[in-house]
Amino acid sequence: MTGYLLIAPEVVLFVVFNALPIVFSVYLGFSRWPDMTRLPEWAGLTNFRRALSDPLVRMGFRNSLYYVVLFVPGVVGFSLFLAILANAGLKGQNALRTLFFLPEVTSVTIVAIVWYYIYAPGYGALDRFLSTFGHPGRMWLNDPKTFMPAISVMSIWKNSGQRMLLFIAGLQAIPSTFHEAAIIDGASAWQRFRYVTVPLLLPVLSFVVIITSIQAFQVFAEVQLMTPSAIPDHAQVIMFWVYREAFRYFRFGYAAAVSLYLFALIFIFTALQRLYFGRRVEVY
Amino acid sequence: MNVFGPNRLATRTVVAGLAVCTAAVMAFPFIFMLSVSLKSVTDANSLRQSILPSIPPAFDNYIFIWKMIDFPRLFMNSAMVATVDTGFSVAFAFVAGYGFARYRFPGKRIIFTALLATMMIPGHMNLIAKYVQIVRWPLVGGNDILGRGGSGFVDTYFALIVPSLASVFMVFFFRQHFYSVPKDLEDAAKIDGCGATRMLSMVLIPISTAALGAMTVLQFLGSWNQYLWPLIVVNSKELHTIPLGLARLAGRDYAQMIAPESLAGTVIAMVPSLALLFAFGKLFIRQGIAIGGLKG
Repeated sequence: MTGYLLIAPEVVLFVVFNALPIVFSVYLGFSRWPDMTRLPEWAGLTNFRRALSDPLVRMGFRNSLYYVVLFVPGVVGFSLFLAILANAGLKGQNALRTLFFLPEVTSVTIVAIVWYYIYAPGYGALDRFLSTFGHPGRMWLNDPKTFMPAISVMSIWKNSGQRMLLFIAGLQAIPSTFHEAAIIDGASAWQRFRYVTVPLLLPVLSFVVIITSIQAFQVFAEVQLMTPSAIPDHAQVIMFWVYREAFRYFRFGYAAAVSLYLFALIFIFTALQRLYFGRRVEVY
Repeated sequence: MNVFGPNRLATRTVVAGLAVCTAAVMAFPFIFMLSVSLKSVTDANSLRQSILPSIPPAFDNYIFIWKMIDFPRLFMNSAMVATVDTGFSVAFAFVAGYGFARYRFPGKRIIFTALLATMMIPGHMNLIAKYVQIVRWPLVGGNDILGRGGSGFVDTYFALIVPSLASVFMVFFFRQHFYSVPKDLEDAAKIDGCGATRMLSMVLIPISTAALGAMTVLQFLGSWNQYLWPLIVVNSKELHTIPLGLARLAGRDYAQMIAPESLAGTVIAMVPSLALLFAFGKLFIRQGIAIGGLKG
Protein backbone atom coordinates (compact mmCIF):
# COMPACT_ATOMS: atom_id res chain seq x y z
CA MET A 1 0.00 0.00 0.00
CA THR A 2 1.05 3.55 -0.56
CA GLY A 3 1.53 4.07 3.12
CA TYR A 4 4.40 1.63 3.19
CA LEU A 5 5.99 3.20 0.15
CA LEU A 6 5.86 6.62 1.71
CA ILE A 7 7.59 5.63 4.89
CA ALA A 8 9.94 3.17 3.22
CA PRO A 9 13.02 5.31 2.55
CA GLU A 10 12.97 6.71 6.05
CA VAL A 11 12.40 3.38 7.73
CA VAL A 12 15.04 1.61 5.69
CA LEU A 13 17.60 4.26 6.55
CA PHE A 14 16.48 4.11 10.13
CA VAL A 15 16.85 0.36 10.40
CA VAL A 16 20.24 0.28 8.74
CA PHE A 17 21.79 3.29 10.43
CA ASN A 18 19.95 3.61 13.72
CA ALA A 19 18.38 0.35 14.83
CA LEU A 20 21.08 -2.03 13.66
CA PRO A 21 23.95 -0.06 15.21
CA ILE A 22 22.15 0.04 18.53
CA VAL A 23 21.78 -3.71 18.60
CA PHE A 24 25.34 -4.17 17.44
CA SER A 25 26.61 -1.77 20.10
CA VAL A 26 25.03 -3.86 22.80
CA TYR A 27 26.54 -6.97 21.31
CA LEU A 28 29.96 -5.36 21.12
CA GLY A 29 29.85 -4.55 24.81
CA PHE A 30 29.81 -8.27 25.51
CA SER A 31 32.59 -9.11 23.10
CA ARG A 32 36.26 -8.70 22.41
CA TRP A 33 37.51 -7.84 18.99
CA PRO A 34 41.27 -7.87 18.94
CA ASP A 35 41.56 -8.87 15.34
CA MET A 36 39.29 -6.99 13.00
CA THR A 37 39.80 -9.46 10.21
CA ARG A 38 37.83 -11.98 12.23
CA LEU A 39 34.50 -11.81 13.91
CA PRO A 40 34.29 -10.51 17.45
CA GLU A 41 34.58 -13.11 20.21
CA TRP A 42 32.16 -13.44 23.03
CA ALA A 43 33.56 -12.14 26.28
CA GLY A 44 30.62 -12.15 28.62
CA LEU A 45 30.90 -9.60 31.39
CA THR A 46 34.68 -9.15 31.17
CA ASN A 47 34.51 -5.66 29.75
CA PHE A 48 31.95 -4.53 32.27
CA ARG A 49 33.92 -5.86 35.21
CA ARG A 50 37.13 -4.36 33.96
CA ALA A 51 35.56 -0.95 33.51
CA LEU A 52 34.41 -0.86 37.11
CA SER A 53 37.97 -0.93 38.38
CA ASP A 54 39.57 1.13 35.62
CA PRO A 55 40.75 4.45 37.10
CA LEU A 56 40.66 6.18 33.73
CA VAL A 57 37.03 5.23 33.26
CA ARG A 58 36.18 6.48 36.71
CA MET A 59 37.99 9.71 36.06
CA GLY A 60 36.14 10.11 32.80
CA PHE A 61 32.77 9.77 34.47
CA ARG A 62 33.82 12.15 37.23
CA ASN A 63 34.82 14.82 34.75
CA SER A 64 31.67 14.44 32.71
CA LEU A 65 29.52 14.57 35.81
CA TYR A 66 31.30 17.72 36.90
CA TYR A 67 30.49 19.28 33.56
CA VAL A 68 26.85 18.21 33.82
CA VAL A 69 26.48 19.73 37.25
CA LEU A 70 27.95 23.03 36.08
CA PHE A 71 26.45 23.22 32.64
CA VAL A 72 22.85 22.09 33.01
CA PRO A 73 21.67 24.52 35.68
CA GLY A 74 23.73 27.27 34.07
CA VAL A 75 22.38 26.89 30.58
CA VAL A 76 18.80 26.34 31.68
CA GLY A 77 18.89 29.40 33.92
CA PHE A 78 20.67 31.57 31.43
CA SER A 79 18.49 30.66 28.48
CA LEU A 80 15.39 31.27 30.58
CA PHE A 81 16.82 34.66 31.43
CA LEU A 82 17.47 35.35 27.75
CA ALA A 83 13.98 34.21 26.88
CA ILE A 84 12.39 36.59 29.35
CA LEU A 85 14.46 39.46 28.04
CA ALA A 86 13.74 38.58 24.43
CA ASN A 87 10.04 38.22 25.05
CA ALA A 88 9.42 41.39 27.00
CA GLY A 89 8.18 43.34 24.04
CA LEU A 90 11.11 45.69 23.82
CA LYS A 91 11.94 47.43 20.62
CA GLY A 92 14.29 45.54 18.36
CA GLN A 93 13.21 42.28 19.90
CA ASN A 94 13.76 40.33 16.72
CA ALA A 95 17.30 41.60 16.44
CA LEU A 96 17.85 40.66 20.06
CA ARG A 97 16.60 37.14 19.49
CA THR A 98 18.79 36.78 16.43
CA LEU A 99 21.83 37.96 18.34
CA PHE A 100 21.14 35.60 21.21
CA PHE A 101 20.78 32.80 18.73
CA LEU A 102 23.98 33.53 16.84
CA PRO A 103 26.34 31.49 19.03
CA GLU A 104 24.11 28.47 18.55
CA VAL A 105 24.61 28.48 14.79
CA THR A 106 28.34 29.05 15.07
CA SER A 107 30.44 25.97 14.66
CA VAL A 108 31.86 24.64 17.90
CA THR A 109 35.34 24.80 16.44
CA ILE A 110 35.01 28.52 15.87
CA VAL A 111 33.66 29.01 19.36
CA ALA A 112 36.53 27.03 20.84
CA ILE A 113 39.17 29.06 19.05
CA VAL A 114 37.71 32.39 20.06
CA TRP A 115 37.20 31.39 23.67
CA TYR A 116 40.67 29.97 23.83
CA TYR A 117 41.96 33.41 23.12
CA ILE A 118 39.59 34.88 25.65
CA TYR A 119 40.96 32.54 28.28
CA ALA A 120 44.59 32.75 27.17
CA PRO A 121 46.90 33.65 30.03
CA GLY A 122 48.28 37.15 29.91
CA TYR A 123 47.14 38.55 26.61
CA GLY A 124 43.72 36.89 26.61
CA ALA A 125 40.64 39.07 26.88
CA LEU A 126 39.64 37.84 30.32
CA ASP A 127 43.04 38.36 31.86
CA ARG A 128 43.37 41.81 30.33
CA PHE A 129 39.94 42.72 31.62
CA LEU A 130 40.83 41.56 35.10
CA SER A 131 44.16 43.37 35.02
CA THR A 132 42.41 46.69 34.67
CA PHE A 133 41.05 46.00 38.13
CA GLY A 134 44.37 44.84 39.39
CA HIS A 135 43.37 41.19 39.49
CA PRO A 136 46.03 38.73 38.53
CA GLY A 137 45.14 36.49 35.67
CA ARG A 138 45.06 32.74 35.88
CA MET A 139 45.79 29.79 33.72
CA TRP A 140 42.10 29.25 33.22
CA LEU A 141 42.45 26.28 30.97
CA ASN A 142 45.46 24.67 32.58
CA ASP A 143 44.37 24.86 36.17
CA PRO A 144 42.24 21.86 37.11
CA LYS A 145 40.20 24.01 39.42
CA THR A 146 39.12 26.47 36.77
CA PHE A 147 39.09 24.33 33.65
CA MET A 148 35.62 22.86 33.81
CA PRO A 149 33.97 26.07 34.99
CA ALA A 150 35.67 27.91 32.13
CA ILE A 151 34.48 25.34 29.62
CA SER A 152 31.00 25.48 31.08
CA VAL A 153 30.79 29.23 30.65
CA MET A 154 31.81 28.95 27.03
CA SER A 155 29.34 26.14 26.52
CA ILE A 156 26.51 28.03 28.16
CA TRP A 157 27.20 30.99 25.91
CA LYS A 158 27.12 28.79 22.84
CA ASN A 159 24.17 26.60 23.68
CA SER A 160 21.60 28.95 25.12
CA GLY A 161 20.01 29.96 21.85
CA GLN A 162 17.98 26.89 21.13
CA ARG A 163 16.73 26.57 24.68
CA MET A 164 15.85 30.23 24.67
CA LEU A 165 13.49 29.58 21.78
CA LEU A 166 11.81 26.75 23.63
CA PHE A 167 11.36 28.95 26.66
CA ILE A 168 9.96 31.79 24.60
CA ALA A 169 7.37 29.38 23.31
CA GLY A 170 6.62 28.33 26.85
CA LEU A 171 6.37 31.92 28.06
CA GLN A 172 4.03 32.82 25.26
CA ALA A 173 1.80 29.93 26.17
CA ILE A 174 1.07 31.45 29.55
CA PRO A 175 -2.14 33.39 29.28
CA SER A 176 -1.58 37.00 30.20
CA THR A 177 -4.64 36.88 32.41
CA PHE A 178 -2.60 35.06 35.02
CA HIS A 179 0.00 37.79 35.05
CA GLU A 180 -2.57 40.52 35.12
CA ALA A 181 -4.39 38.92 37.99
CA ALA A 182 -1.16 38.68 39.92
CA ILE A 183 -0.37 42.32 39.25
CA ILE A 184 -3.79 43.35 40.47
CA ASP A 185 -3.17 41.39 43.61
CA GLY A 186 -0.05 43.45 44.13
CA ALA A 187 2.59 40.85 43.30
CA SER A 188 6.10 42.09 42.62
CA ALA A 189 7.94 41.03 39.49
CA TRP A 190 9.88 38.41 41.39
CA GLN A 191 6.75 37.05 43.03
CA ARG A 192 5.05 36.85 39.69
CA PHE A 193 8.01 34.97 38.32
CA ARG A 194 8.05 32.53 41.18
CA TYR A 195 4.37 31.85 41.55
CA VAL A 196 2.99 32.34 38.04
CA THR A 197 5.70 31.90 35.44
CA VAL A 198 7.72 29.04 36.84
CA PRO A 199 4.83 26.70 37.71
CA LEU A 200 3.21 27.23 34.34
CA LEU A 201 6.55 26.79 32.60
CA LEU A 202 7.20 23.49 34.30
CA PRO A 203 6.42 21.20 31.33
CA VAL A 204 8.85 23.07 29.10
CA LEU A 205 11.33 23.45 31.93
CA SER A 206 11.37 19.76 32.70
CA PHE A 207 11.72 18.89 29.06
CA VAL A 208 14.65 21.25 28.62
CA VAL A 209 16.39 20.03 31.77
CA ILE A 210 16.07 16.43 30.70
CA ILE A 211 17.29 16.78 27.14
CA THR A 212 20.05 19.12 28.23
CA SER A 213 21.28 16.58 30.75
CA ILE A 214 21.26 13.85 28.15
CA GLN A 215 23.37 16.01 25.85
CA ALA A 216 25.64 17.22 28.61
CA PHE A 217 26.71 13.73 29.62
CA GLN A 218 27.96 13.23 26.09
CA VAL A 219 30.09 16.37 25.95
CA PHE A 220 33.09 15.97 23.71
CA ALA A 221 33.89 18.73 21.26
CA GLU A 222 33.82 21.65 23.68
CA VAL A 223 36.37 19.94 25.85
CA GLN A 224 38.57 18.28 23.26
CA LEU A 225 38.99 21.44 21.24
CA MET A 226 40.15 23.47 24.19
CA THR A 227 42.99 21.21 25.19
CA PRO A 228 46.30 20.32 23.60
CA SER A 229 46.86 16.88 22.11
CA ALA A 230 48.24 15.54 25.34
CA ILE A 231 44.96 15.90 27.15
CA PRO A 232 45.44 16.53 30.85
CA ASP A 233 43.55 14.48 33.41
CA HIS A 234 41.07 17.13 34.37
CA ALA A 235 39.88 17.43 30.79
CA GLN A 236 39.25 13.79 30.08
CA VAL A 237 35.52 13.49 29.89
CA ILE A 238 34.04 10.06 29.39
CA MET A 239 33.18 10.61 25.73
CA PHE A 240 36.78 11.43 25.09
CA TRP A 241 37.77 8.20 26.77
CA VAL A 242 35.34 6.28 24.56
CA TYR A 243 36.60 8.09 21.48
CA ARG A 244 40.20 7.30 22.21
CA GLU A 245 39.58 3.72 23.27
CA ALA A 246 37.52 2.95 20.18
CA PHE A 247 39.15 4.98 17.45
CA ARG A 248 42.75 5.21 18.54
CA TYR A 249 43.32 1.92 20.30
CA PHE A 250 40.58 0.06 18.42
CA ARG A 251 39.38 -1.65 21.57
CA PHE A 252 35.81 -1.65 20.36
CA GLY A 253 34.40 -4.14 22.82
CA TYR A 254 35.71 -2.35 25.87
CA ALA A 255 34.65 1.04 24.56
CA ALA A 256 31.20 -0.25 23.74
CA ALA A 257 30.79 -1.62 27.25
CA VAL A 258 31.63 1.73 28.77
CA SER A 259 29.20 3.36 26.34
CA LEU A 260 26.55 1.09 27.75
CA TYR A 261 27.47 2.18 31.24
CA LEU A 262 27.09 5.78 30.11
CA PHE A 263 23.71 4.98 28.62
CA ALA A 264 22.64 3.37 31.89
CA LEU A 265 23.82 6.41 33.80
CA ILE A 266 21.90 8.75 31.53
CA PHE A 267 18.84 6.57 31.74
CA ILE A 268 18.85 6.50 35.53
CA PHE A 269 19.50 10.22 35.72
CA THR A 270 16.64 10.93 33.32
CA ALA A 271 14.29 8.62 35.19
CA LEU A 272 15.07 10.37 38.45
CA GLN A 273 14.45 13.74 36.83
CA ARG A 274 11.12 12.57 35.45
CA LEU A 275 10.17 11.40 38.89
CA TYR A 276 11.12 14.73 40.39
CA PHE A 277 9.26 16.77 37.82
CA GLY A 278 6.37 14.38 37.55
CA ARG A 279 5.16 15.25 40.98
CA ARG A 280 5.05 18.92 40.26
CA VAL A 281 3.85 19.37 36.73
CA GLU A 282 0.49 21.01 36.76
CA VAL A 283 -1.90 20.42 33.94
CA TYR A 284 -4.40 23.12 33.25
CA MET B 1 3.49 39.60 26.45
CA ASN B 2 3.09 41.94 29.27
CA VAL B 3 5.60 41.44 32.00
CA PHE B 4 5.50 44.97 33.20
CA GLY B 5 3.48 45.76 36.24
CA PRO B 6 2.86 49.16 37.68
CA ASN B 7 5.75 51.59 37.29
CA ARG B 8 5.85 50.70 33.65
CA LEU B 9 8.48 53.22 32.76
CA ALA B 10 10.80 52.21 35.56
CA THR B 11 10.44 48.50 34.85
CA ARG B 12 10.79 49.05 31.16
CA THR B 13 13.99 50.98 31.62
CA VAL B 14 15.48 48.35 33.88
CA VAL B 15 14.59 45.59 31.49
CA ALA B 16 15.90 47.54 28.54
CA GLY B 17 19.13 48.23 30.37
CA LEU B 18 19.47 44.57 31.22
CA ALA B 19 18.84 43.66 27.62
CA VAL B 20 21.53 45.99 26.40
CA CYS B 21 24.06 44.64 28.89
CA THR B 22 23.22 41.06 28.04
CA ALA B 23 23.44 41.81 24.34
CA ALA B 24 26.88 43.29 24.88
CA VAL B 25 28.02 40.22 26.79
CA MET B 26 26.62 37.85 24.20
CA ALA B 27 28.12 39.83 21.35
CA PHE B 28 31.49 40.31 22.98
CA PRO B 29 33.21 37.17 21.71
CA PHE B 30 32.24 38.09 18.16
CA ILE B 31 33.48 41.62 18.55
CA PHE B 32 36.65 40.28 20.10
CA MET B 33 37.08 37.90 17.21
CA LEU B 34 36.72 40.64 14.65
CA SER B 35 38.89 43.12 16.47
CA VAL B 36 41.84 40.86 17.15
CA SER B 37 41.74 39.43 13.66
CA LEU B 38 42.57 42.87 12.39
CA LYS B 39 45.40 43.50 14.81
CA SER B 40 49.03 43.22 13.98
CA VAL B 41 50.81 40.46 15.84
CA THR B 42 52.67 42.82 18.12
CA ASP B 43 49.51 44.65 19.04
CA ALA B 44 47.72 41.41 19.77
CA ASN B 45 50.37 40.20 22.17
CA SER B 46 50.79 43.40 24.07
CA LEU B 47 49.23 43.54 27.46
CA ARG B 48 47.65 46.89 26.92
CA GLN B 49 45.33 46.90 24.00
CA SER B 50 42.09 48.51 23.15
CA ILE B 51 39.06 46.96 21.63
CA LEU B 52 39.85 48.56 18.32
CA PRO B 53 41.89 46.92 15.65
CA SER B 54 45.32 48.24 14.82
CA ILE B 55 45.62 51.19 12.57
CA PRO B 56 46.03 50.35 9.78
CA PRO B 57 43.96 47.16 10.11
CA ALA B 58 46.09 44.11 9.63
CA PHE B 59 44.43 42.49 6.66
CA ASP B 60 47.61 40.46 6.25
CA ASN B 61 46.27 38.09 8.84
CA TYR B 62 43.47 37.16 6.49
CA ILE B 63 45.82 36.65 3.60
CA PHE B 64 48.07 34.50 5.73
CA ILE B 65 45.34 32.27 7.04
CA TRP B 66 43.71 32.00 3.63
CA LYS B 67 46.97 30.64 2.30
CA MET B 68 47.47 28.33 5.21
CA ILE B 69 44.03 26.76 5.21
CA ASP B 70 42.31 25.67 2.05
CA PHE B 71 39.07 27.52 2.69
CA PRO B 72 37.56 27.01 -0.74
CA ARG B 73 37.88 23.27 -0.30
CA LEU B 74 36.47 23.40 3.23
CA PHE B 75 33.52 25.48 2.12
CA MET B 76 32.88 23.22 -0.82
CA ASN B 77 32.94 20.08 1.27
CA SER B 78 30.73 21.53 3.95
CA ALA B 79 28.32 22.94 1.40
CA MET B 80 28.08 19.73 -0.51
CA VAL B 81 27.62 17.51 2.50
CA ALA B 82 25.11 19.84 4.08
CA THR B 83 23.09 20.33 0.90
CA VAL B 84 22.85 16.68 -0.01
CA ASP B 85 22.19 15.67 3.58
CA THR B 86 19.49 18.29 4.03
CA GLY B 87 17.87 17.68 0.66
CA PHE B 88 17.41 13.99 1.16
CA SER B 89 16.71 13.88 4.86
CA VAL B 90 14.03 16.57 4.75
CA ALA B 91 12.44 14.95 1.71
CA PHE B 92 12.37 11.49 3.27
CA ALA B 93 11.08 12.78 6.58
CA PHE B 94 8.39 14.91 4.91
CA VAL B 95 7.13 11.99 2.90
CA ALA B 96 7.27 9.63 5.84
CA GLY B 97 5.52 12.13 8.07
CA TYR B 98 2.73 12.30 5.52
CA GLY B 99 2.53 8.53 5.40
CA PHE B 100 2.26 8.26 9.16
CA ALA B 101 -0.24 11.07 9.43
CA ARG B 102 -2.69 10.25 6.67
CA TYR B 103 -2.44 6.60 5.84
CA ARG B 104 -3.51 3.57 7.73
CA PHE B 105 -1.66 0.31 7.36
CA PRO B 106 -0.95 -2.66 9.58
CA GLY B 107 2.02 -2.26 11.88
CA LYS B 108 2.03 1.52 11.58
CA ARG B 109 1.84 2.11 15.28
CA ILE B 110 4.56 -0.41 16.07
CA ILE B 111 6.92 1.08 13.54
CA PHE B 112 6.30 4.59 14.76
CA THR B 113 6.76 3.63 18.38
CA ALA B 114 10.03 1.93 17.51
CA LEU B 115 11.19 5.13 15.81
CA LEU B 116 10.22 7.19 18.84
CA ALA B 117 11.93 4.83 21.22
CA THR B 118 15.27 5.36 19.57
CA MET B 119 14.91 9.10 19.92
CA MET B 120 15.49 8.57 23.59
CA ILE B 121 18.72 6.70 23.08
CA PRO B 122 21.64 9.08 23.34
CA GLY B 123 23.71 9.49 20.20
CA HIS B 124 26.95 8.17 21.59
CA MET B 125 25.55 4.68 21.76
CA ASN B 126 25.66 4.37 18.02
CA LEU B 127 29.01 5.86 17.31
CA ILE B 128 31.20 2.80 17.51
CA ALA B 129 28.78 0.54 15.71
CA LYS B 130 28.18 3.07 12.95
CA TYR B 131 31.89 3.38 12.45
CA VAL B 132 32.25 -0.37 12.19
CA GLN B 133 29.43 -0.37 9.66
CA ILE B 134 31.26 2.20 7.58
CA VAL B 135 34.61 0.48 7.75
CA ARG B 136 33.29 -3.01 7.17
CA TRP B 137 30.74 -2.27 4.46
CA PRO B 138 30.94 -5.20 2.04
CA LEU B 139 32.33 -4.74 -1.42
CA VAL B 140 33.47 -1.17 -0.97
CA GLY B 141 36.85 0.43 -0.49
CA GLY B 142 38.77 -2.77 -0.82
CA ASN B 143 36.47 -4.91 1.24
CA ASP B 144 35.46 -8.41 0.30
CA ILE B 145 31.93 -9.69 0.60
CA LEU B 146 32.23 -10.02 4.36
CA GLY B 147 33.59 -6.55 4.67
CA ARG B 148 37.11 -7.51 5.48
CA GLY B 149 40.38 -6.27 4.16
CA GLY B 150 39.92 -2.70 3.17
CA SER B 151 38.67 0.50 4.65
CA GLY B 152 35.12 0.50 3.40
CA PHE B 153 33.44 3.86 3.30
CA VAL B 154 35.97 5.64 5.45
CA ASP B 155 37.04 8.95 3.91
CA THR B 156 34.09 9.16 1.59
CA TYR B 157 31.23 11.57 1.18
CA PHE B 158 28.91 8.64 1.68
CA ALA B 159 30.13 8.26 5.24
CA LEU B 160 29.67 11.93 5.92
CA ILE B 161 26.17 12.14 4.53
CA VAL B 162 24.24 8.91 4.65
CA PRO B 163 24.33 7.78 8.27
CA SER B 164 22.71 10.97 9.47
CA LEU B 165 19.90 10.95 6.93
CA ALA B 166 17.29 9.26 9.06
CA SER B 167 15.93 11.90 11.37
CA VAL B 168 13.23 10.65 13.67
CA PHE B 169 12.71 14.12 15.06
CA MET B 170 11.83 15.47 11.63
CA VAL B 171 9.43 12.62 10.94
CA PHE B 172 7.72 13.38 14.23
CA PHE B 173 7.64 17.08 13.44
CA PHE B 174 6.18 16.63 9.99
CA ARG B 175 3.60 14.20 11.27
CA GLN B 176 2.48 16.81 13.78
CA HIS B 177 2.47 19.35 11.01
CA PHE B 178 0.19 17.24 8.82
CA TYR B 179 -2.14 16.66 11.74
CA SER B 180 -2.66 20.38 11.89
CA VAL B 181 -3.35 20.73 8.17
CA PRO B 182 -7.08 20.52 7.40
CA LYS B 183 -7.95 17.58 5.25
CA ASP B 184 -10.28 19.50 2.99
CA LEU B 185 -7.65 20.36 0.46
CA GLU B 186 -6.54 16.76 0.21
CA ASP B 187 -10.07 15.45 -0.01
CA ALA B 188 -10.82 17.85 -2.83
CA ALA B 189 -7.69 16.80 -4.62
CA LYS B 190 -8.52 13.14 -4.18
CA ILE B 191 -11.90 13.67 -5.78
CA ASP B 192 -10.06 15.10 -8.74
CA GLY B 193 -8.11 11.88 -8.88
CA CYS B 194 -4.91 12.93 -7.26
CA GLY B 195 -2.46 10.20 -6.34
CA ALA B 196 0.13 10.45 -3.60
CA THR B 197 2.89 11.90 -5.75
CA ARG B 198 0.76 14.65 -7.18
CA MET B 199 -0.76 15.27 -3.78
CA LEU B 200 2.61 15.84 -2.24
CA SER B 201 4.09 17.95 -4.95
CA MET B 202 1.09 20.02 -6.00
CA VAL B 203 -0.88 20.31 -2.81
CA LEU B 204 1.15 19.63 0.31
CA ILE B 205 4.50 21.14 -0.42
CA PRO B 206 3.12 24.54 -1.33
CA ILE B 207 1.16 24.78 1.89
CA SER B 208 3.97 23.44 4.05
CA THR B 209 6.62 25.94 3.09
CA ALA B 210 7.06 27.32 6.59
CA ALA B 211 7.53 23.91 8.18
CA LEU B 212 9.74 22.76 5.34
CA GLY B 213 11.77 25.92 5.49
CA ALA B 214 12.38 25.68 9.20
CA MET B 215 13.40 22.03 9.07
CA THR B 216 15.65 22.67 6.10
CA VAL B 217 17.52 25.43 7.85
CA LEU B 218 17.75 23.43 11.05
CA GLN B 219 19.05 20.34 9.30
CA PHE B 220 21.43 22.34 7.15
CA LEU B 221 22.96 24.09 10.13
CA GLY B 222 23.20 20.85 12.06
CA SER B 223 24.97 19.16 9.21
CA TRP B 224 27.21 22.14 8.56
CA ASN B 225 28.41 22.28 12.15
CA GLN B 226 28.88 18.57 12.78
CA TYR B 227 32.16 17.77 14.44
CA LEU B 228 32.41 14.41 16.15
CA TRP B 229 31.10 12.15 13.43
CA PRO B 230 33.23 13.66 10.63
CA LEU B 231 36.18 13.50 12.99
CA ILE B 232 35.68 9.76 13.24
CA VAL B 233 35.05 8.85 9.63
CA VAL B 234 37.33 11.24 7.80
CA ASN B 235 41.08 11.19 7.89
CA SER B 236 42.23 12.81 4.71
CA LYS B 237 42.40 16.56 4.45
CA GLU B 238 40.63 16.51 1.12
CA LEU B 239 37.34 15.74 2.79
CA HIS B 240 37.56 18.03 5.74
CA THR B 241 34.51 20.08 6.45
CA ILE B 242 34.83 23.46 8.08
CA PRO B 243 34.75 22.30 11.69
CA LEU B 244 37.43 19.75 10.97
CA GLY B 245 39.59 22.06 8.91
CA LEU B 246 39.56 24.69 11.60
CA ALA B 247 40.23 22.24 14.38
CA ARG B 248 43.88 22.48 13.56
CA LEU B 249 43.78 26.01 14.87
CA ALA B 250 42.09 25.01 18.07
CA GLY B 251 43.37 23.96 21.48
CA ARG B 252 45.52 21.29 20.02
CA ASP B 253 48.98 22.67 19.69
CA TYR B 254 48.63 26.26 20.33
CA ALA B 255 52.20 27.26 20.67
CA GLN B 256 52.47 27.51 16.94
CA MET B 257 49.34 29.42 16.29
CA ILE B 258 48.93 33.09 16.62
CA ALA B 259 45.80 34.84 17.77
CA PRO B 260 45.13 37.33 15.00
CA GLU B 261 45.65 34.82 12.27
CA SER B 262 43.59 32.08 13.86
CA LEU B 263 40.82 34.52 14.57
CA ALA B 264 40.93 35.78 11.02
CA GLY B 265 40.31 32.18 10.08
CA THR B 266 37.29 32.01 12.32
CA VAL B 267 35.86 35.20 10.87
CA ILE B 268 36.13 33.76 7.39
CA ALA B 269 34.55 30.51 8.52
CA MET B 270 31.68 32.35 10.16
CA VAL B 271 30.54 34.09 7.03
CA PRO B 272 28.26 31.30 5.75
CA SER B 273 26.59 30.80 9.15
CA LEU B 274 26.03 34.51 9.46
CA ALA B 275 24.64 34.74 5.98
CA LEU B 276 22.22 31.92 6.65
CA LEU B 277 21.07 33.38 9.90
CA PHE B 278 20.44 36.81 8.47
CA ALA B 279 18.70 35.42 5.42
CA PHE B 280 16.50 32.89 7.14
CA GLY B 281 16.72 33.93 10.74
CA LYS B 282 13.22 35.24 11.19
CA LEU B 283 11.56 32.22 9.63
CA PHE B 284 13.69 29.94 11.64
CA ILE B 285 13.26 31.66 14.96
CA ARG B 286 9.56 31.90 14.50
CA GLN B 287 9.33 28.19 13.72
CA GLY B 288 11.73 27.34 16.48
CA ILE B 289 9.32 28.96 18.86
CA ALA B 290 6.48 27.04 17.28
CA ILE B 291 8.37 23.79 17.82
CA GLY B 292 8.83 24.82 21.37
CA GLY B 293 5.10 25.19 21.61
CA LEU B 294 4.72 21.55 20.66
CA LYS B 295 6.91 20.42 23.50
CA GLY B 296 4.95 22.16 26.17
